[in-house]
Amino acid sequence: MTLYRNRLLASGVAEGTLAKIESEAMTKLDQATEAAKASPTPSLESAMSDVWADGGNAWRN
Amino acid sequence: MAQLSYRDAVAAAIAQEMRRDERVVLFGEDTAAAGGVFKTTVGLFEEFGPRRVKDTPISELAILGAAMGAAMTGLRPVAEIMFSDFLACCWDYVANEIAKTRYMSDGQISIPLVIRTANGAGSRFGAQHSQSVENWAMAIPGLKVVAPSTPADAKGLLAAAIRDPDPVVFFEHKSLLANKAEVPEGEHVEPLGKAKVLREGKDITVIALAAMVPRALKAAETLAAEHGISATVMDLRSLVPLDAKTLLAESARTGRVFTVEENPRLCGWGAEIASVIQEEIFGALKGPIVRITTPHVPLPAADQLEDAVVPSVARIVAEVRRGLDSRRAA
Repeated sequence: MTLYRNRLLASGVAEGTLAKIESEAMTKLDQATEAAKASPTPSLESAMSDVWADGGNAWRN
Repeated sequence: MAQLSYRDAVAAAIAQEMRRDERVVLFGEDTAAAGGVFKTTVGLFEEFGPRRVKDTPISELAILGAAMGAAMTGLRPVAEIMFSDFLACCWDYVANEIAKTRYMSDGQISIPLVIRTANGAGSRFGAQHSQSVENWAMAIPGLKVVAPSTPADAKGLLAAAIRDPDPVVFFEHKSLLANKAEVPEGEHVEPLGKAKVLREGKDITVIALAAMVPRALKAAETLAAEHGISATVMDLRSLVPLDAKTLLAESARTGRVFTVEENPRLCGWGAEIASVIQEEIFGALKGPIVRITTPHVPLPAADQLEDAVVPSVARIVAEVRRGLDSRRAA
C-alpha cells in the first residue's frame, strides 16, 4: 500500500486527496466494526448454509 | 445418435453451451487456435472467435484468477488447466477462493465456473503429469467433482457442469480421449449426482469412476465367464454430489462391495465410499469392503511400471477372487 501511495503521489495525485480517501475508508471500517460488534452473534444454522447456490451444504442424496 | 470420440464430445458440449448462452467463455493454455493440447477444444475458436475463446499465458494462477473474476461479474467461464497435476500450482484459488467465496460472503457472491482438466494415467507422462487427483477436489467443501467415463457422459455432464450455479472441477481422463461411442445429437444434458448401473449382477457390486469403469466392465465379463461370479458394475460419474442412494442400494443388494480407483491408496475416493456404506448398511454386508487402488506411490513413467501400479483388468479379477476366497476361508 505504501508503494502504491507513493506511486499515486508521483503521478500527481495530491496529498490532500489521498488523505481524504484514507479517512473515508477508515470511517467505513470503523462503522462496519462497530455494527458487527453491536449485532447478535450468528445463528448456529448459518455455519451450515450457503456452501452451494441452493443455500445448503448437501454433498450427497 | 452420432459416433463421437470422448475428446470431440467435450468440444461438442462446450459448443452446445456457447451457442445457448453468450455468457459462456473458454480459456486456457493453447485452447484457442490450437484446439487444446489434447484436442478437446477443436473448432471452438473458429466458431466463436477470439472474444469468447482465448489462449492464456502459462500461468495456472492467472487462468483461475481470471475465471473467478469473470464468474463473479456475470460470465460463465470454462477454464482449462492442461494437466490436473497442475492444479497444485493454483490450489489457493481452487480451494481457498473459488470454493469458499459463496460461504464467506453469506451467499452473496456466486462463482459459476467450470475447471476442466486432463486427469489420470495411461500416457506414460510420469509422476507430475499422470496423477488422478479427483480426491483432492472431493475434500474441499464448495467444489463439485465430476469425472465421466464415456463420450455421451463427457458431453452431457459437461453441459450440466457449465449450467451449474456452483464451481465444478471436471476431470477428463486422458486414456479415454480417443474412445468412440454413440453420443446424443442435439441438446444433451445429464444431471450431476446420478450414478449409473452399467451391468447388473447378483454376487458382487463393483463401484468405479472414469477410466476404471471400462476396466471394471471387462473384469466383470471375465469373472462371469471364467469364475462364475456375477458382478454389478456402477459408474459413480460424480463424487460431489454423490449418488449415495444408488450406491447404497446396489451395495446392499449383493452385500459384497469392491471399489476400483486410480487414486493412490491413502484417502482415495473409495475410502469415503466405504465409510458411507459401512456406516449406513453394515448389516447388509456379507464381508469387508475391498478397495482396489493404485498403491501409495507417485506414478512411475515407465510403461511396465505404470501398468503394474494402476488397477488393471487382471488385478481387479484377482482381487475380487481373493476377496471372496478369503471370506469363504474365514
